[in-house]
Amino acid sequence: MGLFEFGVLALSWQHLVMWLIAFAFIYLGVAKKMEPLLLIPIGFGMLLVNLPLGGLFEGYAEGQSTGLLAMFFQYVIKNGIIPCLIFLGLGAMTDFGPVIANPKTLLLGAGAQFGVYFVFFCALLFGFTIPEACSIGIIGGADGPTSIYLSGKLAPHLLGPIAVAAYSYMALVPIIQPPVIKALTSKEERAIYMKPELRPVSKLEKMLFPMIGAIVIILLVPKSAPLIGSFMFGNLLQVSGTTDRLAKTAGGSFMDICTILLGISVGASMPGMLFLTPQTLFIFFLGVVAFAISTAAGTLLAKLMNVFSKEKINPMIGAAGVSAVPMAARVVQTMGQKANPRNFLLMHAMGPNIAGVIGTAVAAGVFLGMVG
Amino acid sequence: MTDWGQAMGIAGFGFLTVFVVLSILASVLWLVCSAIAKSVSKQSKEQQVKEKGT
Repeated sequence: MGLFEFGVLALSWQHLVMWLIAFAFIYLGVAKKMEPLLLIPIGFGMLLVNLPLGGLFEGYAEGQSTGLLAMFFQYVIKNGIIPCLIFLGLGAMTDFGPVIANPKTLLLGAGAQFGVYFVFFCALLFGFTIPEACSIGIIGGADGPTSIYLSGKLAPHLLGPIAVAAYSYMALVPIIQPPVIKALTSKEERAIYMKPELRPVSKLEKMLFPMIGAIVIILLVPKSAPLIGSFMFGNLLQVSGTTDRLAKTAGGSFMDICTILLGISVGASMPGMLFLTPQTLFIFFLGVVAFAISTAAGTLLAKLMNVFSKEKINPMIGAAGVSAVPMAARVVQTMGQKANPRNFLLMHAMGPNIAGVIGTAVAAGVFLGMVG
Repeated sequence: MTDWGQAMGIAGFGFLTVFVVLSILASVLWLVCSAIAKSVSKQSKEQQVKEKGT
């Protein structure tokens, strides 16, 4: 008969620090309602894996997962299945109408990827390798599934901190973005009025978009196929009008199952011993820099577009070019109404916001094509 | 040791590619939508002429 072991005797200060972080995540999700669907599962996963001797993440480091959450993490997160399935669900929930009505917003989504490349260089300066720097830079795209997909392929050992940084900063968009936007725009610019309604988009246009999008993007950046293909397929289910059942499932229960598995497994990938290192702190620092630079680049590109365009756009909508759907668009809407109560920028900001999701997936595809 | 030449290539080519891909997508989208709008307006004009004729 083996000797019975009490978990309490194996507790260390790292476990206790991780408990505090887990409680903070759960508090933010419950009390502040910040991305609760993600922060609560991540927080609870983090708590579970830091209860010593539970064995939930056993075997992962050796590549032979036997713990329940280690198996989830190894087989469905690290190999990119769940991020792609989440993209399928996102596609089924996304209305591409704002992008189709105003295709130039796609450029704002591209401009806001600047932070990805800026932080790629910063990460290299901090001593990370090129594949690691690619995975850290992509946090600037503010897209959790893409960050997980890319780091699972290029730097699986950093997947935990990268995923947590990406999702935490997505939840903190209302805190990170406003000071950057305010610093780069005048009160007059923030008050620029945009007609609230966009041109109506026909069903045919909406049906053609996922097919055109998939063909154009995948032909040019083949490695983006898993993410873009899933995203566009999910959207086609929604707009076809004949697959309502599938679209409802993809964007509903199916998405919820994927979110539960993703959240708890990502949380579980952070045992204190591995997580509390200077490397993780660097990743968190670089993540916030990436977010801020992407916000700044989107805003500045929108200002530049105003120089060449007859009809002025509110430069704040450029900041929504970081993905973080729909949080970034909501931030722009709130700031726009504060600057000019007549303004209703939400639909205008949704264009760059959705373009940001596509832009980040393309950036990930390019990284994979060059480094993977 | 970091290969800064490779890093420059990845960042420069990467950012440029994202821009070019999304610009091409925007242009194709604009062309397709314009073609659809033209065909719809042509159809509605023909409809109006038919209705006037009857």
